[in-house]
Amino acid sequence: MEALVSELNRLPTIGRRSAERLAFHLLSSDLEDAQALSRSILEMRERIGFCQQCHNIAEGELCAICRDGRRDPSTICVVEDPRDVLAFEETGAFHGLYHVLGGRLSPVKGVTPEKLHIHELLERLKSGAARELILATSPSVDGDATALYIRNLAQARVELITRIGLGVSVGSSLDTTDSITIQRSLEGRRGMH
Amino acid sequence: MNGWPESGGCKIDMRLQSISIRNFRNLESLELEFSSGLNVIHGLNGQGKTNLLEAMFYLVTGRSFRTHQDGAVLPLGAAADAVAAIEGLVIRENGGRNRLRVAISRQGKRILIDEKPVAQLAGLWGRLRAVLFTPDDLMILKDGPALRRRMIDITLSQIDAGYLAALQNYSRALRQRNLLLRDAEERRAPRDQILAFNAPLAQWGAAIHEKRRRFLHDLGERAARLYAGIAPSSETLELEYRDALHGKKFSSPEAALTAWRKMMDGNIETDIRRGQTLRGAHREDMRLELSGRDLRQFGSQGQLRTAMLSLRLAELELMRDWSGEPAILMLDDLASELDAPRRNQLFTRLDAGLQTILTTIDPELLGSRLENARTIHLQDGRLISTD
Repeated sequence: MEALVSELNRLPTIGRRSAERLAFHLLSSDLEDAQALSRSILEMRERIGFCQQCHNIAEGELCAICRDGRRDPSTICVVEDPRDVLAFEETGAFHGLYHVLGGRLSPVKGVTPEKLHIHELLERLKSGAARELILATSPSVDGDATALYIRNLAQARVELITRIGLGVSVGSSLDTTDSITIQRSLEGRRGMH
Repeated sequence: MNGWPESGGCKIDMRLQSISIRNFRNLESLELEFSSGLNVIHGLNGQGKTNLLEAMFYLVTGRSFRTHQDGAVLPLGAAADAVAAIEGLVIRENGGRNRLRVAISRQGKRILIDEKPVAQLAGLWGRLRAVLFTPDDLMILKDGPALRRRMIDITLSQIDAGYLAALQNYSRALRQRNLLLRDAEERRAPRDQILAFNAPLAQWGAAIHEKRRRFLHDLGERAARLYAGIAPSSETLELEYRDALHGKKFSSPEAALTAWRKMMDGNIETDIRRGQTLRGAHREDMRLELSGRDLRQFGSQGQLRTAMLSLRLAELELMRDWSGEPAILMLDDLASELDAPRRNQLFTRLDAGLQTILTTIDPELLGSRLENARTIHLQDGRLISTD
């Protein structure tokens, strides 16, 4: 029991108390459920790695998105994290390919460009298949800096570089939106079609 | 001129109703109720009056106004797991009630609003607005720019959440950029990364600049009027914003942003040589002049005191007008802060609707005002009597 609790406790966001609760829950649940859980953890680790092209999670050398011939290789969306890919995919609105950086620049945390998949992105652009690069790093200080860093290096290799639209969130009202967000959405305004 | 100048039609719509303090310096356990008018905390030196104001100001900013280290407020010799806790009940006339709680331990600080944890300090700001006036305030006028920036930041952050966000983002970008500069050897400096952090630094710097400019313009006008009322003479008080772009005016926010980017980009080589970011919002200042002469250099003690009183009163007015509700005045050590004429000037300006919490060794200084005040007598960190 103690071994399981301390293993669970090592997971992110799981404190000692939560670990104990989970362990007791597993103890009282059906044996099949526990077996299914341990099996899926192992299978996940054995079968899933990272895509050699875009660094998203993948079964095999390439991820499902990079393997899919119907995706449009002329657009690459650059994100920080595989979870961001999931967020885009859930919308079903994007049909291009991704490039997962594995984080964002942060000198304070020791995250230098070499620790991110930026070099691989620049190599990938050499083929000339991509015409547009969408920079979808987070709208934070570090995310903005990462986007600008990539733009400066990539602009000679791709026709068009865009930044995702940042501003007022859909469904909210302007009077409850903070002034900084409104200012950013003004900067990012565009003509109506 | 009595009370606040005409404007706003302000009601008593925010006040600190009560406070409960545990294990905070020499305040072992203290429960206090406040009146919505004048509250006088009295007691001899070293009994815990300033500690009480310090605890109260934690509810305003989530920080101490005396130390950078939260751990310093734990009682001397406190156990390793000791928790200092301050809880205050803020009431608004529209029926809003907020229970603010700050708990400090050696492991860190926890802030709760209505029992719900707040992840960031910013979530606390603006719930209880106050202007703090302490005997150390004269240093703001005499010392270097850091204290003056701090004064601006504390007041403006309470009434503009966007300013606080801009400050936090700016200081994050500055930390990142300075780290790159510090480790840079001149020939192999990571110029491409430094350039990348120039963008957020300029963006937030320009946002701070615009907000400070508006704030200081308004504050300066109010302070000048108040100064003229307190010290009727031909002297005029002027406040000048000493900004990173040397007062240059811009036709649009875009133009200002471009200028900030140019400044940051243009300074790269100098900054690399010096190992730090030399210009920006973190170096700005404000300058006070009395009829054209630098107050810091030429001001007499009396002029400095009147200027400081004018500034604090101007902040109270401005916070009320910008936020639509009055801020609380917290005044530490009435006697050493203000001499008799200035005390009277202060009191004649305090509207009946303004909640004031002050500390003093000698409550008799308040004269007849004491009759309508709530008095709280502290001794050795404990409540002796209230009235």
